[in-house]
Amino acid sequence: MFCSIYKWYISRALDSGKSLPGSVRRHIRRCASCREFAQFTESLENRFVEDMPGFLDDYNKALNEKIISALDKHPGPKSAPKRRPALVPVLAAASALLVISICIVWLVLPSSNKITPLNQLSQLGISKISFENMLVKIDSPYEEELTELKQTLKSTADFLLSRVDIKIGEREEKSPKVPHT
Amino acid sequence: MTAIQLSDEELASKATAGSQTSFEELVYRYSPRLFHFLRHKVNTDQDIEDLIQETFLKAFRNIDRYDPDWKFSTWLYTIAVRLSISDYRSKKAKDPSFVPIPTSPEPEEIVIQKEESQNIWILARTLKKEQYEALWLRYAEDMSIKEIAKVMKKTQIYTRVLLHRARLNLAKRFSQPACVF
Repeated sequence: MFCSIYKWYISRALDSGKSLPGSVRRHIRRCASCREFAQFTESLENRFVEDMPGFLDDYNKALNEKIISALDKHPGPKSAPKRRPALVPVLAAASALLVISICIVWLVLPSSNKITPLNQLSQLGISKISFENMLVKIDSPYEEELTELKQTLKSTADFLLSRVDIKIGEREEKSPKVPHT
Repeated sequence: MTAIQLSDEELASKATAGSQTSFEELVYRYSPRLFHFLRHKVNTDQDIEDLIQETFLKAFRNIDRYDPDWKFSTWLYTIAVRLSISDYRSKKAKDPSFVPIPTSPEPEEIVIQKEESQNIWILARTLKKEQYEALWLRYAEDMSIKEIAKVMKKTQIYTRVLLHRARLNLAKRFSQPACVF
């Protein structure tokens, strides 16, 4: 009644390479059909291997020469062998280390380092209004850089414009009109 | 060490480095095997030969893509199966009435084949297409379930079921009496 299940177990054991469960072995001892199937499937491997050479003889060997001559006509491998660099796991490990080290530094840092600049000012006894007055008086530290940047951009634009003019002139010189005779 | 003594994978890596002789040895080893594997998939011997030639040409052109983590046979059979599928699709697109060869033979044919030969492969060829292919990859190519599933584009459990059914049917055909009347 359960023979089909036992036969499935027999087949599965063959593919997985594991030994048969005890219940299946006990059933095989009692059931002639399953015993025959188990013996047959066990013998299959040898039978297939033994009968292979005779079976392979039924083949047109001229095909090999045909394939090899076709290989000569066709280009070989497209490119040199490419091995995928094993960078992905290395990068993942590096980023994980970085995150962990940042977390450690953050945890280890003393709480005094977390004081904001405004708190420090209040500690020094400087009021907010007087601090704002001081800021107005001080020139922006980026003022000079901004002016320099503007000048550089202007000179670059002038240079590029002059280059464009020269190229147009050269093209005109390279293709002179030939008068018809 | 001569090419004959080298394993398939060693020959493939030599072919990747540019040795056409190594690839030719692989052609000699695998063309009869591919012939018997593809017999079920195409109608005529000419179609099989074309398909084998195309398989080897594709493998040769893309040998640099071969991953040595897999067996060479798995890679080659995967190419062959894919090409046979696209060949079938293109034929079906050209001629909607195109029908592949019958997969299961008539009972009379089975009896004749059984009487004519005791070769188990000839009997296996009378099984359904997928069952024969699974048996071929398992016993002729010594592939694992995982590799067979990869080549046949099936799940591992389906591959196990296919093999089990193939063994059951083969066992039935062996014990079938010669007279069917």
